[in-house]
Amino acid sequence: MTRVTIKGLTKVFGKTLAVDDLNLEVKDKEFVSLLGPSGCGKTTTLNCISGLEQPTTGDIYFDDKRINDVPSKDRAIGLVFQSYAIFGYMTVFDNLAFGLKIRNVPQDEIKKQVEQMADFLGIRDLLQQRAGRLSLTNMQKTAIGRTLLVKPNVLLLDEPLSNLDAEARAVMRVELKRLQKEVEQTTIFVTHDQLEAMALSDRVAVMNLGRLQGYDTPDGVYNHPTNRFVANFIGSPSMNFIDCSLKLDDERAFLVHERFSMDVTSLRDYLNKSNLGSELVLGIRPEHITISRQPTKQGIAVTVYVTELLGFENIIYLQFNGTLLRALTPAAVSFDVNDRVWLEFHKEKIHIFDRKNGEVIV
Amino acid sequence: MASVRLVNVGKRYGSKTALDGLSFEVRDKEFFVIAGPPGAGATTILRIIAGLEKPDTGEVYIGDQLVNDIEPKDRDVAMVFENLALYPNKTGFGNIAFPLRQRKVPDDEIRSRVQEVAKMLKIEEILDRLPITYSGGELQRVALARAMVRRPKVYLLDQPLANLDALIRANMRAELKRLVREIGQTIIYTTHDQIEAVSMGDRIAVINAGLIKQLDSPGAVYSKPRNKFVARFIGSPRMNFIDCTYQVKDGRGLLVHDSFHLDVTPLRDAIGRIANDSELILGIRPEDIHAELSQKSKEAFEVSVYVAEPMGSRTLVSVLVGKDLIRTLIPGEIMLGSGDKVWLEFDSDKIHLFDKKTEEVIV
Repeated sequence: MTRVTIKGLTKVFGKTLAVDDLNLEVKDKEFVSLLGPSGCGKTTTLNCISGLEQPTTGDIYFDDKRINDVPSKDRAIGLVFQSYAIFGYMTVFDNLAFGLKIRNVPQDEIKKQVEQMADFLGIRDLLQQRAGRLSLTNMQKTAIGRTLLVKPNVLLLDEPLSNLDAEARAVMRVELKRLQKEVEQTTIFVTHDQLEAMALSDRVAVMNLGRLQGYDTPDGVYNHPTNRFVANFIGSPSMNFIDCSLKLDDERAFLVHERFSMDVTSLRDYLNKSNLGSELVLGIRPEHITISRQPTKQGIAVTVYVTELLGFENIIYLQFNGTLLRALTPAAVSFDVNDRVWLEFHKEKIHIFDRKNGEVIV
Repeated sequence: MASVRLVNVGKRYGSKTALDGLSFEVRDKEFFVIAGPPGAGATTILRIIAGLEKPDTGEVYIGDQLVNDIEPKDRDVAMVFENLALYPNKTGFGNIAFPLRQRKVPDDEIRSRVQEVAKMLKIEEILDRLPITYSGGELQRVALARAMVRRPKVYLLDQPLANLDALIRANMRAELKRLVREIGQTIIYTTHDQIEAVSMGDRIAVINAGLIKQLDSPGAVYSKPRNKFVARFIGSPRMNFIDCTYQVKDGRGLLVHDSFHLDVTPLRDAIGRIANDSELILGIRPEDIHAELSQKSKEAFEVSVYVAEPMGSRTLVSVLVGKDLIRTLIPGEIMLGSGDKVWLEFDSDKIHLFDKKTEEVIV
């Protein structure tokens, strides 16, 4: 198995900087997602790892071996795309056995390995069926199984779930995560779906405009985002951002906004830096805003713009100084459009960003 | 009055039944959502109300008027299509003005009516531009403006958000809901997306194979589904379904599964008519299963984690209960990994029971 190290990877297409000085290490047996909106550089990065693209500058290592000059076919990578490159006229068995057959693995060994993989994937009953007749989910399982059987150094998955409907995607997510842990296969997964990245990965690399924005565990990118881009991209409904300014005196610190003043003296050490201007952004997730029907001591009076039931929760959109804030309430706690309510921020859950560069301060 | 009433409306395409004798009434000024999987018949219903299709059987009323034989243009309805269908060579203004020009409305009036809807939809700044320069949200609003400018009594919106990407869709959902309230007219809205259905509608008709499976408020279709189809269609992550046997022992009602026994004695009155040893389907939503790291009650049973998927404020945990893979949502602060042991308990107030054969709800 293999550790993947990317050092200073830059890829330029004509005048477009697709990947900009990317540094990333994927540990042996780790499941890492490259996550970002379209054009963020995630697929280009994957293509550089697989050898479909050559880096403009920078190096890629499998363990300690630099592989920039190793041809794609000799890198022993497993690639699975959004469209399933399986042989529809062959049986599931023959599809799974394909890579082993070309490697001249003995017949009984092939049978043993294919059946074991089919068990892992829950498609043992389908081995004699023609692959072209399978459901999309089972086709994708077959494609992944075939790739895993040849024991690649790295499994590279490019949006492999995006052709499936929501329920099939949820099922495949679970099976894929389980499988990856069972076979302990180093895996790099490209997706634009933050929920998918969070659900599957040991670590998530969030990218935007060719640059790495944050690289952390799912808990880390959600609860401790490194900048405003990560904070906004991870989580649904997404985080609220409110422009504030900082007021520091000898002892205390406040976040000041037209509508409120929040005592953040406990964070004073982070905020009292000479390079930090007073222009800040307060970030707060929708689940960390409480709404009351009655005025509260710290409460800020706002008006309900619209509400949405999401099943067991409501999103309450609140009109706040010309913008909208999102708050979550249990399904039973609902409000009507134009209701006057009072909101409070959970102070211990706030994030503070520098408005100039979007970097996190606390 | 612009209620819309369908009475026993049927429609076949060749040998395929698209609508199987549908009857329902959309109230005046209601936001009415028709939700179902692709092919369920939602778009056909809209096209019949608009007059673009003729029903094989049944009657369609708009207000008190039977409209079966009335031309689409005389029905006082406006339809916004999934593909939005703006004229690419006309500016935003030209697109919005088009239905008025067709009706030979004087130029002055066209200008003031276009300005009025443009102001309401906040698209005044983009009226001079061609559709190709618009974002998804802007296209949406211009298409809606073109419908609004006619001041119809009924709006038919056919999956208007389907082609937008997820983030914009979430924002547009809220904006559209608010806007619809400001327009204050009867809206009939179709979608395949259950979140759109429950988050936007005053009432929802969940349909499948040309039949209404349930017509209810969003809260009711979510928490009181009338059959397994609705229970399965509405809600994400999806409701769990577990085959069980119902047994009566010593005056107590039990749901028996290989891995657990669930005491449902308080539900006995409702279950009453079910024979001993009947096979039932227990339905329970992921958020109604509580997971603890130790046994907190005698009803709790131990399982091992198959896969845990962090999702931010919550973690979706799949566990094996016998042969069934069950999903439960737990607070994000609890860190679990594959193979970890947890104790599950079903919130007995939140369970649903379905007949195994008919899949209709029992409780």
